[in-house]
Amino acid sequence: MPELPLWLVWVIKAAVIYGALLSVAGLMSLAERKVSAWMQYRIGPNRVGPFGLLQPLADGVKFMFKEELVPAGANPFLFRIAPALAALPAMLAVAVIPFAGEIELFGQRTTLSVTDLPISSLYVLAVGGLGIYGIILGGWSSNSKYSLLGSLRASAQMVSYELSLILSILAVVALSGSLDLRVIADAQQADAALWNIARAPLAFLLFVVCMFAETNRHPFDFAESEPELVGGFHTEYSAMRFALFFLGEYCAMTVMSCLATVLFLAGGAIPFWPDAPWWAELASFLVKMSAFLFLYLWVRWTLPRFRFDQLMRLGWKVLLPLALFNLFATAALMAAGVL
Amino acid sequence: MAETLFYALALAAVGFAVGVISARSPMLSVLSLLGAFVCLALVYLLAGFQFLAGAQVLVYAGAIMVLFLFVVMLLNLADLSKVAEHPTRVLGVHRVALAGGSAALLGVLALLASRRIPDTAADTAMLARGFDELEPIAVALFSRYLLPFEAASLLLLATMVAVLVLAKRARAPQGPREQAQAVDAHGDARGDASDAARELEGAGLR
Amino acid sequence: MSNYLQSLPSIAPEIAMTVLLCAVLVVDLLLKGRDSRKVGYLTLGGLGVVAWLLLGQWGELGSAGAAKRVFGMIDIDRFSTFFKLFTVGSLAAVVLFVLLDRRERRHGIGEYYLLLLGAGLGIFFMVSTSNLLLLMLGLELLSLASYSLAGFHKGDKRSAEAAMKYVVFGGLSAGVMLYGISLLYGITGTIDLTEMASGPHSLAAQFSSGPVPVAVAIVLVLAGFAYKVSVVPFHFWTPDVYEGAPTPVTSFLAVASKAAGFAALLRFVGKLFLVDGADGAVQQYGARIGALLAILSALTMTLGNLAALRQSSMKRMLAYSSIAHAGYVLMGMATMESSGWNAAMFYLAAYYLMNLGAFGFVLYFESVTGSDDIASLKGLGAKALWVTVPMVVFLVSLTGLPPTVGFTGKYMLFVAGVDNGLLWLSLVMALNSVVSLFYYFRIVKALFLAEPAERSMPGQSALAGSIFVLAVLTVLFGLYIAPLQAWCDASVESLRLGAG
Repeated sequence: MPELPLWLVWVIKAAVIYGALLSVAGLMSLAERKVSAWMQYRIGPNRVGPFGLLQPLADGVKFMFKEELVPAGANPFLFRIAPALAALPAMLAVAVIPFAGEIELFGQRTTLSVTDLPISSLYVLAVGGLGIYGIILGGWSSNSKYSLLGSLRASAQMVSYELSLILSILAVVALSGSLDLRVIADAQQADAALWNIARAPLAFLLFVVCMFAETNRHPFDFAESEPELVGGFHTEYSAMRFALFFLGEYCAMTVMSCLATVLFLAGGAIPFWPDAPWWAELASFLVKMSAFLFLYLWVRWTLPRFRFDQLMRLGWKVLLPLALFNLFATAALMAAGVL
Repeated sequence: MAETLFYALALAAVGFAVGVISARSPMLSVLSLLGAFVCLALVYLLAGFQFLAGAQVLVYAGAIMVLFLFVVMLLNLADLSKVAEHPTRVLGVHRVALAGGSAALLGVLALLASRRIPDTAADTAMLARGFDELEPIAVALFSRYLLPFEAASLLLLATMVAVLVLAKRARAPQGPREQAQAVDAHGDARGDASDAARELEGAGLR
Repeated sequence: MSNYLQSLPSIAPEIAMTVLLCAVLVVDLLLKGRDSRKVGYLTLGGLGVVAWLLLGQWGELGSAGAAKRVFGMIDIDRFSTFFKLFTVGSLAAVVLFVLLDRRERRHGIGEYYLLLLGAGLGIFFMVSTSNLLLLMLGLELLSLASYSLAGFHKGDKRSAEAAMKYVVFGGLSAGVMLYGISLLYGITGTIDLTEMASGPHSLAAQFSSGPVPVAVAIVLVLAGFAYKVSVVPFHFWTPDVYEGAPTPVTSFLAVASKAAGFAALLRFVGKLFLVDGADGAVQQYGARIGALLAILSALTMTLGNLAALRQSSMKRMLAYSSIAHAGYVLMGMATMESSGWNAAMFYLAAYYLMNLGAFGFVLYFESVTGSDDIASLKGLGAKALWVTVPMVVFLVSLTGLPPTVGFTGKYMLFVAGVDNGLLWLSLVMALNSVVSLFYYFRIVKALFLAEPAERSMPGQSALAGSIFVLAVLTVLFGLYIAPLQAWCDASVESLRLGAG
């Protein structure tokens, strides 16, 4: 292999990771329909390509050729940039996810992630938290009451559940003593008994619940909730901007799944195979991540949607106290030397 | 390079800050404030304070400004021209603000003119260790600045109680329901959550 | 770490206040807000414990101004302990006012006490710290609690207006002050007043090499203090807030909050400028600050007294009178000499006693007549001698006539002014005292020199009793000044010691 300058290696790495993210997001749109069909004893899309695998491409082409509408009375500037604001943060957040350890790429040793930050978990939360602006601004600038209600619900919900999400992550941060996702993943090593899912099961549970709320997915999809709000915050959107919202949602789901994998399942580590090569680690990472993505779909077709007051009660009266207790208990157990 | 970036970011932050007070729509005001916060976070990043930058974005941009937007959406302050004139004139706030602003600018100019900003031994030691790691921050927070840290928590507790008291609707025996007071659609965290939810929906539909 | 554990007993009063605050929160929650009087009694009891702890600390400190610093930022000295004791006293008085007054009781929900305690805790931090960060936090704790307390009568438009104005002005001035502090930090590289005065980059050294940035920073910080103690260019909020806020809250704002502002101001100016054996730069620097304070003082007392002449509401009148009194205290500070500072502190103590009493009287009559209008007092003097006579004592003291504590204080201020080359200011003060006679005695006139009214006065013996006690103290300390005098000496000494 020819030796390339370091910066070029970085560019290639970033391009590959972002390409992979977008592909996963596209595949998710197909998986959503396929899995739902499977669960409902239907067949699902199977016309475009083998098993309908090219369906996302066909959808993309269709979206591009649709007419774009800006409703009367809408704030055109905010209306236009909102979808981008919704999609961008999730794409930025993926930059620090450590997919695998060091690899040899075009003569340069480098890690398999776009970049490594000492505060990467904080970065994911901070940047990911900005995704809410796309939803709020999209809903508000549409000048439609369904959209406005959708974005109001979304902002209340995301702010409420972000607290528990951060607190559950803090427990993990305390366990590994670092904010760096790579350090957190490495600290769990290959021994499954040291994985954080075993050491902090409550944190895992809280994280998974909040993960659904943060991405506005079923059973917490109040921002959209079709039966009540038509389409929620994106009621007025059409064509590619509409697709961008979905792209953002699938990217956010992917990032959340990656985060869950790193935080609780030791990233790409494989039990009983401590010196696994990078491709094995990457494969194991993708398997774990896919499991979480599948969970999203599984839950969607299993549980009914909450009511909004139930959502708020769950967030403030159950999850938040539990998350605080979990953090406290983790710290206490660590101080006692148990963990 | 870093210096140029700093001045660009600082200028952008000031520009956004001017936008906050000059924007006609409150929505744009809030978004300008968001922009100013992000610029500040980038300045922190430039200075090497990664943790501070992350916390700034997470707390201010990710949580506090969302609540601001939430309130602005609920209040529907589309027509500011009606409220803008009267109360500020009575308070003379704009004059005081003008005086304060001028004084502030003067201070900046004076500092720029003198250009001697010393650093103390204690702080350089801290800078040398850097703010990337959590440990030095945590140690400083829980030893040297323990008391201010606790005082801040008390401040937040008292403020939370104060806001709830002012925003909560009066209980039945305490006279007529004070609709005007119910600015708080987020609800009383202690009260019935379903109440809060109903208020939220009601306010949205209005 | 062990260092911090050993320091904990030194801040026992603060810890006790915090525990009390949390206890109030939890007990109110357990009672489900049904019987908030119990919460009031709990608060009173807790304040008793805090007072006991403070008295113990007072005794331990001895009389020689033996100060110590804990946590690197809290100064335990007689200066702060004295202000803390008075804060606890006025908090207890306010809680009593709320518990005893029929109209106030309706609003006396658990959060009322909690916010009062929060404000008190803010004062505790303010008066005892020489760290600007903690000072700012204490100030904000006090302010935020005060804003909501001012708006506690929720149906009442004037109360809402008071809270709103308070918040707007408070926010602005806090911003200005914080900006000044950040400039000071930029100039000296520290937020500790002692280091600022004596550290390697001391303010005095910076001043001699470049006075403008230092002066701007100091003036901005002083502006923040000036707002808190309502000195003239920053006094606009005072009458409206005092009038609109619930009367017990007004008494708290006028007495405890203002005195806390002065305590912090005294420490700030004292640590930086009241340095023994100061070299030329510091002295020149201090003299300029003194001149600034003198001008502010003259403006404040004159404007306050002249505006008070035209008021018909007792609360508004007392608001303007409190502005005037802020001017008197500033006058003592303007001398930049120990004798003047002694007098200023003595006057602050006097101010506590007489204003707390006067506001207790306003509350008493408000609960009877439903108004704080001076006209509504007509002819009630003889109906309730056990409160009207104390009120006369307070008014005599506020005017500055013997044999009251107010007279002693003003006399000391006058002498200090004359001694330190501020003769003109002393004369302005004397003239102002004459002016104040006119409006204070309008109340006496309304009470005693009008046709006796028909209505009877329902007795509120507990409230009347506390007013009576305050009146006795007002006279007592006017005649027997030694203990207060001793405290003032010790306090000024501790400020100086800290600076050197």
